[in-house]
Amino acid sequence: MKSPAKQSPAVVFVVDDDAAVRESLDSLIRSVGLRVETFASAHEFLRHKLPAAPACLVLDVRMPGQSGLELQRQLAGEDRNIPIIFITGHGDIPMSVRAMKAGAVEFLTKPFRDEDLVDAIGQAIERDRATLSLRAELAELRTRYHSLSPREREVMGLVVKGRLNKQIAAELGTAQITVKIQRGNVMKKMRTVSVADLVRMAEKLGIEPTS
Amino acid sequence: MIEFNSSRRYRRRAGVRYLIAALSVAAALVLTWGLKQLFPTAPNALYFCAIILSAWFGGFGPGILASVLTSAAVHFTPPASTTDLRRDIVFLVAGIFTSWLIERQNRAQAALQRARDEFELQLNERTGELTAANEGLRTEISERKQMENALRESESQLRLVIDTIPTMAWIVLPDGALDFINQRWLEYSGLSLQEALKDPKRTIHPDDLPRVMEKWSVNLVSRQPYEDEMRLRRADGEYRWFLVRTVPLLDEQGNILQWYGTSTDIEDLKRAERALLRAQSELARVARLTVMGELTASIAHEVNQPLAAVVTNANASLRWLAAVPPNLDEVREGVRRIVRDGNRAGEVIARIRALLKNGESVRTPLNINEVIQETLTFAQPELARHNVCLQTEFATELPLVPADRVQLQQVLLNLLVNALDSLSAVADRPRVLRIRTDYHEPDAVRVAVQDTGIGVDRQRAERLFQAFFTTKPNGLGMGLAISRSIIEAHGGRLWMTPNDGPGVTFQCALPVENGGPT
Repeated sequence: MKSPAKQSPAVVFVVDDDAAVRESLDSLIRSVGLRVETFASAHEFLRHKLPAAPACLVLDVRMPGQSGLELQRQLAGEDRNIPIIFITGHGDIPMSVRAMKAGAVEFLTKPFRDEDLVDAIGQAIERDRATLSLRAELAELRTRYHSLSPREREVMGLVVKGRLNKQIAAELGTAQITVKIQRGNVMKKMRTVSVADLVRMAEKLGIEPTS
Repeated sequence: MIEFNSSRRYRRRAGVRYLIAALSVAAALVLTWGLKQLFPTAPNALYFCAIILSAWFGGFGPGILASVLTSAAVHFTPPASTTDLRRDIVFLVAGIFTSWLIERQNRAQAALQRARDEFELQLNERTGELTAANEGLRTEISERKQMENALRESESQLRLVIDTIPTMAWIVLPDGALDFINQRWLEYSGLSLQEALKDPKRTIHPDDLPRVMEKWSVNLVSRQPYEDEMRLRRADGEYRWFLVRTVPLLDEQGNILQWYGTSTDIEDLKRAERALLRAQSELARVARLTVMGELTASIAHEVNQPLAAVVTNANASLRWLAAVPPNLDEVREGVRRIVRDGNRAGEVIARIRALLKNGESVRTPLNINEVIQETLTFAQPELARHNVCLQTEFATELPLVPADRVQLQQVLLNLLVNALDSLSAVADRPRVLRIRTDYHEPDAVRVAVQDTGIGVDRQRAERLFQAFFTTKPNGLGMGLAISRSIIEAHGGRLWMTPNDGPGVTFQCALPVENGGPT
């Protein structure tokens, strides 16, 4: 099972209109061994292609042009849902509530404690890493599932429902020996040996057994 | 003496004259004939009388007639024995000669008479002229006397005025020596006339004296009217402010004859002025605080940004130091940024403090573009927050304007905040704020702040610059009134014009260094 998230190093994106703040964040984040890329505006950031590696976004709320919250809304609609840590000069409560509800990892008020930012970044990257690996795993399972023949998918659906070979044969109107072979193929193609594992896979794939 | 007018005689008709001649000859003939009856030796002299009379009354012509007639009479009257033609011819010639002589004499007399008449006429004329001249002189003399009286009166009145006007007056000679001072001067200073004339400078406040004397000596040379304010000591020792003015009196060649001066007590005026200035600057400060209050968020942001950068850089530097091995290059870079950003925060604080404190007005030559840039640092975050698109068009190489930086920033800040308020109410079109600077002919620099906001209706536009007039729910109504008074105190103008499109434009013209009042 290959996982790109574990291979490439994490990247932290910083979007802030203030050059001094950008520079300081760049130094701080590099000091904890992370890659950093900085942008002066939301517009500049949106032109950049997001990496497959785990990443997070440190975003200033108040910027000329598109604000941080507007960027968050826009990113939420996209496929690659990158975790966001908000930083702001003067955060009011309604603003932070809105940001957190929209899925922000953290909402920090400048000047913030460096541990708070570093912790939040770590947390965000972990979240992104998890998201990425989940997504990768799911993609792998889908590939395996798509390699099954229609009859094998039917068999798999009944197996994860806990039916015995005899019951499956009766339900599909085939010989018990045929079901046994097909079941063996399913286990092989889905690369598992236990029925319990197969059930978890089916859950992840969201398979509703055909009746 | 027989008086007769020759001209009248000649005007007599010729007939009458000849008749008289004939009659007188006839009379002589009769008389001589009568006398000859009495005594035969009676002479013929009476005939001569007739000739002389005829010539006298009638002139040469009747004289000749009388001569001819008498000659004929003598010749033809008896006794004929005595008749001798030669005698009668001699008689005739003598008669004619006599007539001629008489005629000559008559003419001479007539000429003399004419000359006398003429002389008399001239004499009369001359006498008339002299009389008229005399009359004129007399009038003139009396007028002059009246004038002299009036002059004396007005002089004493003037003297009274000069001594009683509520101003000190004096005259200075071209060499600078005091020539005259009025009573007020002496009363105020409490000095005697001798003391005052000897050393008038002693009343000037010691702190003002060097400046006053320097300026006065310059004016003495340049012959320019002099004006200065100085403190003068009253008799009781109190110093009061005076406005001292001096003008030179010049002759036709432009030489100074005298300087006339007045010193007017302006102490009360000065006090009122100071109080007014204090009140004005206090009011301006309150208005400034109000505007600053509206921009608190912006200002906080402006300070907070470099502060956040400093803290983050410091933390990053600590982490680079703690690394094994420590990354000193990164630390050095971090510390350098800390210094830079710390200074930046300090500058912002200094600017705010300058705006908040109620300092003396200090005018220095300013680049208007720089002042606008500085002011924008306060307002820019606020503009960004309200999605206002800021456009600046600064003319390059503008002349400097002598102005108070803080006051100018206050005016600009006020205009920016007004524009921002107006723009915030706009939702259906772009919010654009344009700031332009240019050279305003002939001697001013102009700043135009143009917005696409909701604008001001005509009725309100007229009252916009009045104190306590506001279109804002929480407005004090002092911003534009104070802004205008600040600009006018700088010798400039502040006005508003509606745009062709939506919104308004505020324009401010400030005189440049050489052109405007200092």
